[in-house]
Amino acid sequence: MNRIRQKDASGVWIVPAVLTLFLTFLIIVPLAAMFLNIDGESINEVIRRSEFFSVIGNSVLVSLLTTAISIVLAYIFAWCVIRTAMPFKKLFRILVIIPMLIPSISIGMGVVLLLGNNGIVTNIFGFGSDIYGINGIVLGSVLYSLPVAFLMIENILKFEDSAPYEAANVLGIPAKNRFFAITLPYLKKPMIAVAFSVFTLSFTDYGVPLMVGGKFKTLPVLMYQEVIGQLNFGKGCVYGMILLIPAVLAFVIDLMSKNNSSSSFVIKPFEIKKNTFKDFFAGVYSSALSAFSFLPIVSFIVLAFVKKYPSDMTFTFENFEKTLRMGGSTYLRNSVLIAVLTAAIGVLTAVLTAYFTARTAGKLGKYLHLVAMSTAAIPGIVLGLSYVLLFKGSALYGTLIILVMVNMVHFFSSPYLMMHTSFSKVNENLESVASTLGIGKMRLLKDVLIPKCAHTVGEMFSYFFVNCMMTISAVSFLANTGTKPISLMINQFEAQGQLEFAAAVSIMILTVNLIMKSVIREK
Amino acid sequence: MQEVKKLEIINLCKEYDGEDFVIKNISFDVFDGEFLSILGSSGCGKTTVLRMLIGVLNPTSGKILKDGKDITEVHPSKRGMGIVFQNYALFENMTVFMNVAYALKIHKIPNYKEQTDDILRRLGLEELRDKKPAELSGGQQQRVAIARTMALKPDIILFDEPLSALDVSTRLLLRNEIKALQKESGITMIYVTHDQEEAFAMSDRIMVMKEGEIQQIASPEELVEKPANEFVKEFVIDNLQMKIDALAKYRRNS
Repeated sequence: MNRIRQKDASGVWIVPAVLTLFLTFLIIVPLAAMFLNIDGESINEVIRRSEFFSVIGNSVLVSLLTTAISIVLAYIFAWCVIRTAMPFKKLFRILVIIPMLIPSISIGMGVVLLLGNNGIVTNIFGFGSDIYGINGIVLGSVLYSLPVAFLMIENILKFEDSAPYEAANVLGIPAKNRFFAITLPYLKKPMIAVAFSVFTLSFTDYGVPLMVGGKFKTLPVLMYQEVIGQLNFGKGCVYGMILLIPAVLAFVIDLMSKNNSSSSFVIKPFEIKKNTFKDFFAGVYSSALSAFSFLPIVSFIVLAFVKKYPSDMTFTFENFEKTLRMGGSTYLRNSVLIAVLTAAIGVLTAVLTAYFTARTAGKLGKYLHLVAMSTAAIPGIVLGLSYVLLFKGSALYGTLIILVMVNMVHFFSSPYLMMHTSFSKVNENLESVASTLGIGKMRLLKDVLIPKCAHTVGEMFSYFFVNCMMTISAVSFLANTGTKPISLMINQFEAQGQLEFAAAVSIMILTVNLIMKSVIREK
Repeated sequence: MQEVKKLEIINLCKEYDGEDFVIKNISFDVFDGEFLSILGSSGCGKTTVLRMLIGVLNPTSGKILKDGKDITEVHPSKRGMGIVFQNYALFENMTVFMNVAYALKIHKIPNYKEQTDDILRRLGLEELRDKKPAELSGGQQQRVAIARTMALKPDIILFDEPLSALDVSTRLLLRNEIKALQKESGITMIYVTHDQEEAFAMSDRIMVMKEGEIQQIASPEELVEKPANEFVKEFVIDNLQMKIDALAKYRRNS
């Protein structure tokens, strides 16, 4: 049935044509510019550098450890949330997800504040200062990737069918066999996607290692120093290429596995029964995990609101006032402006793109879908660098618009996919009916499809907004003193050792994001 | 009455990107005011024919004439046809009233409110006027879908298995309502179904399709008396006979 091609009303082709040009220009062209910038000399220089292979080794090791730990922790927590009747589910869930609303560099800072040389835990219990290096990076990366892993796994477990388990129960198959015979095969594919996401997240992140890495260098940090510190774009591009590899791999695997899975049968949800032992275990585990993931935030709340940690613990707003006076108010305004503009333009672009890819057939739709999804595979710092190379010297360079554009592309795939999924679920005959009634496609989109998917539109807006507020990756290459978003002040304060200001900035970002989240939820 | 040609379908073909033909050169006429069923199992191409008639799908070759005029390239909204789908395809964010009124409003029909209320009354929907589709039963939703097609006053309505998603009693009820609507309005109806019984109960003529080709097009009586080939006999007659036999068997036993 889906092979049936809808007849286009005349003129409607203009919208997909414009979208195609727009997205190609913003996504494909910058990447091409980056590839063209790579020369043999840079490659040689990079490879001949003695630390090159050890840095790659570091990055892979850190990311593998992070992925393994993060997935195990997240899986158990998701299981507690979905399959048990433990109390305070919602609270635990919120505490674990909240780190998603602050930059990775803030989480790195939280780790330092807790376990660093002068950290809260270190001072109280007298241990912890081993944190600089691989331990700290893995710890920070786990904290940073945990919410993502949890949300993905929660979604997988939520839609697991209980019928095979019931059948196994009736047949008297023991629990451990059930796990290997039913659970694992079901989880295999989606869990590979989770693993790749977490791996890529930690592989391409420079916030955490910049904060706690010490002498232990990872690829993104090296790239960051090469480009920001020494303005060596050629070498930056070589690192960028390497950083692209895991995400591109994940992307290709995902594309291939999508084609042969078509499980759209009715799903029987699990019945949650009270089980004192299970619920108790789940409660204890979830309390511990919530504390673990929320403690870094507590630590910089403490730091931001006291005069001088640890010598003078008087409550004060001074750190906020000083931060705002040192340009913070302008940068905060920049951030909100960038976030709102990105969200508005991003939602519009994603809705239109999703409409054409989800509800019309044809090659153009397939191309658009591929381009839109490919944005998931481009790490922020790689994207930022490619924009520098393409737009340096143009009128756009150094403006707020280029920050909006780069953010929109950087965060495009998730909101696009949300809308694509929502639109795909809407009755496939709607356009046929509308065309017999003389109702144009754009009109139908505005009057019927968007109102029907209003909830998704809200989620998309909030996703763009929140991520723009906290990103430090792509924008770090493109912002100048006039356009700087407030998140970049964290890098600056960190470099100057003024952690109390960096903490204040993190709290401001968190507050704005919490407000946005609650506004969207209210609607 | 059946001698005025409403639609003429001439050598209609459909193929997808170099694959085999889905519709293999079919020709038939539809008479003014008749109820024609297109009967076949899934994949026989009956829905494809319907989509080409309404104009949301382009034929690879062939012609469709309506009242003697070529409408093969005419936009769906200019064909004077309405369509009703199995899954209703209602505008779910709108009330029953707005579902029917929406097209009229967009085309800036001055007294669209009165027209809409009139249609709702004719289909017995006035009580549900301000409800949203989610609040309605399947049968009620399908009534709304029929009402919606009536808004632009079509002289042909196409049905794509409209009752297949409904339970048996609602199906029988709506079957009669559709038939009554046709008698009252004189609208030509083309009705795609895989249900032999439904086709026999409703149709003036039945067109039996298999693998993109017409097997026979005839009145129910003629189909029973002179099935054109073995397939028609098996698919149509034997199938109905089976039901009768089953019934008879239980009658005997009781």
